[in-house]
Amino acid sequence: MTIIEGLTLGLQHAIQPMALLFCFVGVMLGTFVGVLPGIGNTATVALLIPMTFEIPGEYAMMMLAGISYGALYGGSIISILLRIPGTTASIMTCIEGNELTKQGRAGVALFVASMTSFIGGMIGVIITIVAGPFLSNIGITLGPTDFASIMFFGLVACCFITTDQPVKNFSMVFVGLMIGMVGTDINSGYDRYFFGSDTLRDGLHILIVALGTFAIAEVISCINIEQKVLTKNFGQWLPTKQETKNCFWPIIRGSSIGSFIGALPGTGGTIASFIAYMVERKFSKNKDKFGHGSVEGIAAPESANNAAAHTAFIPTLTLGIPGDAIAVLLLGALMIYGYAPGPMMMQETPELFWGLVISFIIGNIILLIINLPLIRLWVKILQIPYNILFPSIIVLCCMAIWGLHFNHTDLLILAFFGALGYFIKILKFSPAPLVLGIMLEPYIESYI
Amino acid sequence: MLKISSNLISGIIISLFGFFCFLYGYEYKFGSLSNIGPGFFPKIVSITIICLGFLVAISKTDQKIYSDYRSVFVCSISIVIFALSIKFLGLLPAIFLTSLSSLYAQKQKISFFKKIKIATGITFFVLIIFKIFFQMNTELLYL
Repeated sequence: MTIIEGLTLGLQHAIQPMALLFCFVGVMLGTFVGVLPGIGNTATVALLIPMTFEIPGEYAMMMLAGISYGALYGGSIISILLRIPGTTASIMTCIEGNELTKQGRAGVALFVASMTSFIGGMIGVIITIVAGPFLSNIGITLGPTDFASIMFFGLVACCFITTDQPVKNFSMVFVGLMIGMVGTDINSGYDRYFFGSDTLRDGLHILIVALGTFAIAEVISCINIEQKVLTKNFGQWLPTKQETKNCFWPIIRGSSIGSFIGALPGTGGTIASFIAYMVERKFSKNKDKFGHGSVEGIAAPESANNAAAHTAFIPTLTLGIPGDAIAVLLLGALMIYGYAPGPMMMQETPELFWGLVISFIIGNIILLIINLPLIRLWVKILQIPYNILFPSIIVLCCMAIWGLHFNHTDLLILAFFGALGYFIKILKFSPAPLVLGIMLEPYIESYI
Repeated sequence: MLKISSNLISGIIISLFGFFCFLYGYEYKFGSLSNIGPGFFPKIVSITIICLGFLVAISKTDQKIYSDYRSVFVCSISIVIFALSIKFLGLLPAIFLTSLSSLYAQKQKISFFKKIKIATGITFFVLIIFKIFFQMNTELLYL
């Protein structure tokens, strides 16, 4: 089957009224849960899989996939407005987007995030269509050394997240690597640094660290200071001509990095967004603006994580190997619906593969059409009085962490990382290298 | 507000953290370069942390910074309250007590009645999302 035949077949399936409905429900649900701090797409997909057993598997997959990329956009909304990473892939957007919000340009940041997410997503879809099988073959041929090199590149690049004092970022990366060792060593099965706690024996969930060091720390640091968010230009959401021009190459580079890294098994959008940001920082003519509200600093990671969200389906569908955590769930769902993911999938069930690919395009268009007019509504979140907003954020973070394992020790760890994140912030360190270090430690140790 | 000097203090804390990790993980088997043990990575990383802590401590930029211990303490305590009350009292009291207690982090004077109103509003909002929409499997109230 040629690509044109495949796309025609996919279009026939994806424009069915039921398919459009489930795609719409998926992206809307994804955006909504993405806005809630910490809930994320993985938890939502896990919760909704049992509810999709009554509907045809093809439509269910369109809905679940819609949730996965809809949540990325929702995650960037809350990251930009309140400096709370909706998903770990939004951490870089959090840093740059929130700086723009503090300058009264939240609308511009949301518009750029929305447009670059759309373009990145579409580039990811095109690459999935054109180079899917080729990329999945590259994924198989890469060995542990190559993966370790990618991880090290991410870590080293992360040390230059802020130009002043990279030694501080280096120290945060290594502290992150150390904290990442808490739990069972995946090579030897030996329990390390667990202090007799069964919860710590299972390791630290990255979401607890991300919400603690970003969301809780931000809340603590803002409670008793005068809110500096400018509200004068709230309604303005179009970037200047120069900013639009400056976004072109970041989008291309971000999407390329995201598409490649997303297609590698076991990597995912978070690493892609970190690397895209760092690469952009290196290439940009406006290096000084990075860390102080750079539009390019939003464009690159947003296009990267959205491209990666789409190309992550390549190894899942063509090899049966999950590209990231959400792909593991989708792989399980595919098997429940009676499909056999693997090299024969494109031949045996082409309507599912191509229908899903076309639904990505439709889903991204729906996201753009719905979310652009909603920008004015989203920025109104900033007008909620802070004495209502901050207790809500604390409770939502607690609920998100409670929902992970229903374990109260996780919440105590959240409190610890909240306080730690605050001190990291006031001592002029960056929490992003710490989070990346914790996240990559198991990979690095196993690949080495 | 308490004045503290940044780089020296943070460098010392980082080095102490590295030193603690080195000592705590001292008994983990080191292994060899071709067959690394569970102690290989902890020892290498903790020694690097000690060195980096030293570099941070002697680095030039040494800004004076301010910290707000009241907010750190109250917010941390409110999360601990959530952890304890969700285990022993249920979801409803956990959300209410956490919202109410976290409001004490603000220095701005708010009447107790207004705090109760805010906490009640947040409780209903969060319950609608998690209990009705997500159907979270946690008891509302342990009686």
